[in-house]
Amino acid sequence: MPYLSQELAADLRAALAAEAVAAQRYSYFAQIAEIEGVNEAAQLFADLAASVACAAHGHLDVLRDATVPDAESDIGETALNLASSIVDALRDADETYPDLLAAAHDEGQADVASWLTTLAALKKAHVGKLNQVLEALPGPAEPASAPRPGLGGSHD
Amino acid sequence: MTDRASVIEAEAGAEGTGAEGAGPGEYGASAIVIFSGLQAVRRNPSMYIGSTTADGLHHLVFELLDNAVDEYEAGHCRSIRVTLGTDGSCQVCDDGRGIPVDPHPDSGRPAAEVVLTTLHSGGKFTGSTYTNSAGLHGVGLSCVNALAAWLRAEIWRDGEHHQQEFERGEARGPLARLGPAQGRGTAITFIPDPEIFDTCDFSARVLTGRLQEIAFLHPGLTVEFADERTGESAEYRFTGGVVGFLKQLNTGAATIHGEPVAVEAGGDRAAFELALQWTEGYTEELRSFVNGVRTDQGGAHVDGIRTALAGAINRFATAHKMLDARTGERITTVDILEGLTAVVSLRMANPKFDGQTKKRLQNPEIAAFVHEAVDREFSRQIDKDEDLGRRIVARALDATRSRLAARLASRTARFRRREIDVDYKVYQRQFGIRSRNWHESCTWLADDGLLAAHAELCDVAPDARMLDVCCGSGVVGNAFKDKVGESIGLDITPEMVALASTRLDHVDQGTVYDMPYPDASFDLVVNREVLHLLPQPERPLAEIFRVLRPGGQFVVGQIVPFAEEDAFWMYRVFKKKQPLLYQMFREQEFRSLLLGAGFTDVVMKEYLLWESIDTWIDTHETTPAHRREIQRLFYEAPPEVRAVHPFEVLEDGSIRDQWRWCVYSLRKPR
Repeated sequence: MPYLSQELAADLRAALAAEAVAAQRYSYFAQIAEIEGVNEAAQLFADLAASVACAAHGHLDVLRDATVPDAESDIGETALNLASSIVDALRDADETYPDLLAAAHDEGQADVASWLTTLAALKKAHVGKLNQVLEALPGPAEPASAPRPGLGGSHD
Repeated sequence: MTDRASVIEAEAGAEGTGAEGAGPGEYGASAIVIFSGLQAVRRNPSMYIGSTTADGLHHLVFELLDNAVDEYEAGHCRSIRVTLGTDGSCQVCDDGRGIPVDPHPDSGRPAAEVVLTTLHSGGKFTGSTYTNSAGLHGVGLSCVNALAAWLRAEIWRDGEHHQQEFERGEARGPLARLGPAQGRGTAITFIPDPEIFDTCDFSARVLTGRLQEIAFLHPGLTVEFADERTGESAEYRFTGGVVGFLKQLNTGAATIHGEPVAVEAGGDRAAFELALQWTEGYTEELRSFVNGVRTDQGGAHVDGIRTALAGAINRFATAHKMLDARTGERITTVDILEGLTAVVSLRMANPKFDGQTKKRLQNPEIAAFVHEAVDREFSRQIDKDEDLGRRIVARALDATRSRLAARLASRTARFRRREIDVDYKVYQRQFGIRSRNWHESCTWLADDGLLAAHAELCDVAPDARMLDVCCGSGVVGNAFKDKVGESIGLDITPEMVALASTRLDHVDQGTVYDMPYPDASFDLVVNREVLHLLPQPERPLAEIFRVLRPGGQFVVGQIVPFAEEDAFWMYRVFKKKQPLLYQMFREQEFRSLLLGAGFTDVVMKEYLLWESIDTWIDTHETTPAHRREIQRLFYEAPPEVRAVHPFEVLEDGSIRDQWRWCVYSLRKPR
């Protein structure tokens, strides 16, 4: 089966992001509805969250199977998944959250800045944990197949 | 498979037929059906009692209580007594019929021994002896026996006293006849197995809470409690139903209206009794029961009450022009929870619950039934008694308006570039009202060990001049009083200034951003758990540095996360508790903030302290929705958080959290 075009793969990634957001929003809304005592809405939101989370995993299935493994896929076996997770967590710890918290400070949003600081710290801790597990994995036949952090999740 | 199938069949029989089904309801040995062995319980205790934590431990007692209550329900028991022994034992004693002791037809062993040593055996399966049973359908007694290091069963029946002892579920000898005796009943005494449970320490609070409920749900039943470890004892007996129980719960509380509102309704499929009353407190206390079993998570019956109350209150408020029409003000179902105490007892056929241990009623038809009945009756009562209606609406409006204020509060203080623009009025309102019962609001405020941890770091001359900055009630400064010559306090609210004046030599009203003291005025400055509430904490730190003499000491305590993994979660918890939170400092962050202000010679001591989260969030600063959200954050805390941050959720849903205090000593360089 031919691989997806880069364009279609990119659009699918966007759809995945949207479904992942929807799943989180639904489960958050379910909690609010439950606290407000609107049982019916809470149940509906919880059900939708479950379906949409399942759909998001479906997008990941497609992206895993139907994109060029070497060039753009960052999903695969555990070694690759660990490596690509490290890349993401590092980006969050070193760029995304530091940039956001600087912007929050500029706007005088001290509490928001503190919130983002805790997340930068969390992501840094995640990098450490992911790295540890990755390094403890039984070494592959060719070391090159496990990309090191910072290489963008792909290699060669 | 066969076992399971038999269980289902037996349960179905029990539900459908009732006492009239299989014979005359004789509670003898033949009424007991044997299913299978007991080792499974020891191998996998959580499957039977939920967990091996304190919850599981107390579950053992609840199982025994359920058996005794069943005897009451069957009309054979008038009193239940629970005794906690100094040897770590627990005894549950009832004056029911006594477990049968005649030989069981299948095994030839005494029925009591069969009940105690065989899983899935008990009188509740055949349907002939109990119509409505609360316990685990006979699993209870043998489960308790399996998980007890030692257990003694005493039975008074047919004029004789019988006794048998067990170790980890195995009989130590045959059932013995001790001789003739008057009266009847069963007493089970056991010591939980420390090989099974994380803790074997029974909580008097947890047990009396349950005993109180049992007494309320079973009018006329006398429930006694004795704790020989402490000498504490209590006796509960209610005849007043839900209203009586509500009054008991609200003992000592300042209530908004004198008499509780009571609603009763009955139908073909369901009937309920409800009593409710608003107090000046902030947390809600909703005790809900379905067929005598507590529904911790509420569900359809509770939701029906809340929507009905919100609807009726809004209608009344609109009709009497109490809402601000310009802003479209509306009282929500969450707002009406603030300060609400309610007890509802629902009886119905075929209740459906979600999850296995989660007690949440699911039947949607019940929500509609309860809503309709409460709406009608509650509306009628507040329409008839306008003053009652006005008081209740005013209480709910307080909650509505403080919810909006809390939302605004966190967005009120701002700094742009170098200029800081803090609305001190917001701080005055948030921290001024605190002075009411302030020290009861959490453990740390007046914890001697924590205060000592601060004072121990003190190293100044005996005639030193001390400033307790943002002193609150002055307890921190007070802890240093013996070690200094003069104690001064500074706080922003007049209420706190008045309160601290009783502890410190002199207290000024003023702000920490611009202290009313010349440079180098003090030898010691002390401060505790304040800097996280201040935007741009560098500014107050610079002020503290300024008013210290060179060589002067700064002692400061702060709650910090245990690790990187719980900081974000603690931020969410603390921000929901207190909208004026600006920082959740991690230890290294806080340390570098202090060093960045120019201080040196840092010494830090850690102090771990358990707090009741339920007490901590019972404050005007925390909205009802935020309280629920905080509870959820604990109930659903991610594994990464649990791995680093100790906390406990007790059987009744209350939360104990461990806080990591870091207390620092620093010096202003000479």
